[in-house]
Amino acid sequence: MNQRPWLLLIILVILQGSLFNRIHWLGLFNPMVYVITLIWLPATWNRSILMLLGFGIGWWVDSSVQSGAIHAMASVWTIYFKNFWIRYTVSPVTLQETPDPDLRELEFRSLISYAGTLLLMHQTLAYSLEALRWNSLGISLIKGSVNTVLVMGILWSLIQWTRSMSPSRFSKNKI
Amino acid sequence: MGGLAIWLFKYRFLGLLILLESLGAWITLSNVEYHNSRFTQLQIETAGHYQKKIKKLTRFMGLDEENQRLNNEIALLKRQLGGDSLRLNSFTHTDSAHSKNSRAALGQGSSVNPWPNTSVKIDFISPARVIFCGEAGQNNFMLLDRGSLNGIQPRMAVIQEDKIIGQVQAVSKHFARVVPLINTKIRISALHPKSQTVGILAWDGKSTRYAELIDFPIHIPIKIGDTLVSSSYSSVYPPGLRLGRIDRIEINPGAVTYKIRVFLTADYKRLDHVQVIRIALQSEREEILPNTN
Repeated sequence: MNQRPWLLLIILVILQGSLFNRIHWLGLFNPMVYVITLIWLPATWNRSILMLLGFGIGWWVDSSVQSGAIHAMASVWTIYFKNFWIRYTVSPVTLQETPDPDLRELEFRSLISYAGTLLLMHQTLAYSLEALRWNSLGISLIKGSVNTVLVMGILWSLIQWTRSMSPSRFSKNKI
Repeated sequence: MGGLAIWLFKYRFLGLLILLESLGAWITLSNVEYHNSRFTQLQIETAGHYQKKIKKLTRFMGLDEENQRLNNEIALLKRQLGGDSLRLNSFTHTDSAHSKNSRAALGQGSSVNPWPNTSVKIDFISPARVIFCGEAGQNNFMLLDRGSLNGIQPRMAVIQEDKIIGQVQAVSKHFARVVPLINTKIRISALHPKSQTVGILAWDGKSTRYAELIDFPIHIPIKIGDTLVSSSYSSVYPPGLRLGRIDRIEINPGAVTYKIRVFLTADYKRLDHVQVIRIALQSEREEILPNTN
């Protein structure tokens, strides 16, 4: 199993509760960076444990904004969907070589389609659950898309930064 | 048995997903007021939508009887209002514009009193139809086909002619949920007009035609057949509207109050057309009362 930047992932979850939840710039930008942790978790772990972990992380974020369990519900969906989605977005060759690919090892196109879709799904779902109105689905999708781009930018920066910290491990730069 | 175990094992992750999502929904609905309120509205809208369709099909069964009752009511109102047809607009169940008419007729500063035996003014009247009357369990509720778009708000009284039916508990845009007298959580002060004594009318959760009058002192003379009406203590119901009549009186040895069974005036199994009303200055009256929440 590849070594994940665990400390970074834990910090992201903590930062979400303490810092990013307070950002509501223009009522549109509210980066949910903790989803990076959900996506980066190893896909080979027991799925039940992953779902429970996702629920726990989401609930922790919820508790900091008193939003019930909206983030927990969206996180469980993301984790559940993640295992299916990786098979459709990551090339079979990569999966055969490394059944549990790290985000840093994915091709650029795979990274965008895998992480981008999961991020968009999570954020749109969270905003929809927050609004709980059919006629707010469009707004939720717009907010989800904007924040997906934002979080994808942060994810890309983190991938580059962690690569630069250990260049020997990622010498075969596929991106 | 083995097949079931295999099936359960196969779908264990889906099961866990449903379980966690349900848990999340429960946590959200019980902790976030906005979501709780939205969910209630959604429930009312959905139930109202389907019950309206069902009611449309079943309404034809009692159409003749209902028309007769409405004709009687119109005749009675005409007599009471001296043929003022403008005011009667509010009682004819016609189209969506009727609530505007009724508000125009009963608009600000023009409160009327269509019931001569009540002493308070009414500043809002809207006709409505009962599309669902849940008679399961002890916490019955009803749905009306009118909602906030028609001006209906929580804590308005629901009546039929001069009979009290219940009070509005929650509204969505197109529907209103009503708590009827046949709900164990409802207590209403009832006046015995002959003795001018007030007791509490409460439903015991048994028959939909009977309720109990409690806290009625034993030294007051009463007899079977005496009428009970709403008292002036309520800020929801106008006084003088019929609640029921005394059907059975029991005196327990050593007790200081009667045990009275009341035959309710309203027949909840045959409700269709009702009126939603608000007594004038209701909010002002409730504001000055001590907060009992």
